[in-house]
Amino acid sequence: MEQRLAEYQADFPIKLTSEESAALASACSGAQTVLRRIADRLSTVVESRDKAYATADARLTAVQKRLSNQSLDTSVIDAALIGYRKDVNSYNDALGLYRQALDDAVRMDCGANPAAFRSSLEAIRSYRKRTADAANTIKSFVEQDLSTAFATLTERLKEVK
Amino acid sequence: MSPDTAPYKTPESTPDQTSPQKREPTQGTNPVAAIAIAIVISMILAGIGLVSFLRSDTKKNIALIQQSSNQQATDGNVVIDETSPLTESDLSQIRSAIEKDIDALRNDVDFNANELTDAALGL
Repeated sequence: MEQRLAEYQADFPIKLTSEESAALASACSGAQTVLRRIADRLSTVVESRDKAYATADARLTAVQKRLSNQSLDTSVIDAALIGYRKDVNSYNDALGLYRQALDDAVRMDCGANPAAFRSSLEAIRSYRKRTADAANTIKSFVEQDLSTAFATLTERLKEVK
Repeated sequence: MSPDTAPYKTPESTPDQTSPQKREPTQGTNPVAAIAIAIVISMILAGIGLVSFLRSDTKKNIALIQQSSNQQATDGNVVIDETSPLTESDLSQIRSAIEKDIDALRNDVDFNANELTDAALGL
């Protein structure tokens, strides 16, 4: 954890005055309680999201298998699956960083090192945004790219008939 | 030559192995009739087995097993067909299901920036 805290300070350098440092040291334990609550709620959120993303993946994989069983071209669904999985992987990477930063901020001795705590807070905010952006990218992919892929597949099925 | 090493001599009473044995034909058995009877009996048994199978639940169970083998449960709740031929209607339903699942995820709520402000954290 010490190494990650150093990385947060390198990536998000913070200069605190002695007054700011003292104020943060006295209030940070309350902030850690709030962060712990956010981290706990995030675990539930992640569970339902994992299920939703996995189910979508399974549905797409099933379409791929069924097309293959019918000896039909699978290139459209192949590309859709690759794109979808790439977006989900990006989301998982960002989420991992977000959760790790939350965990570090909750567990660290914030009173002893308020500057590192402030840097870890900035890391949490940055990784939260990255995670939200990645989740929005998945949503956009489903609404646009996947919709186009399914429209193409529908047309091809009509041609085969 | 000592008696212990003397070659074994066939007793006088042993019948001559080279002479052909005469077998009396069994009276009253016709091989063709026996085979025919065996065939008829096996056909009757097969028929009884078939009727029993059709009347039992085994046929229904096999149909259920074949139906379920076409589907895959991802998490115990969602059942996904993986084998039956794909139709346009199927594609429409699958697309709607995926969109519904992903739309149900509230990105702005799950990853809310407002709960991480200094004020929200009491700083």
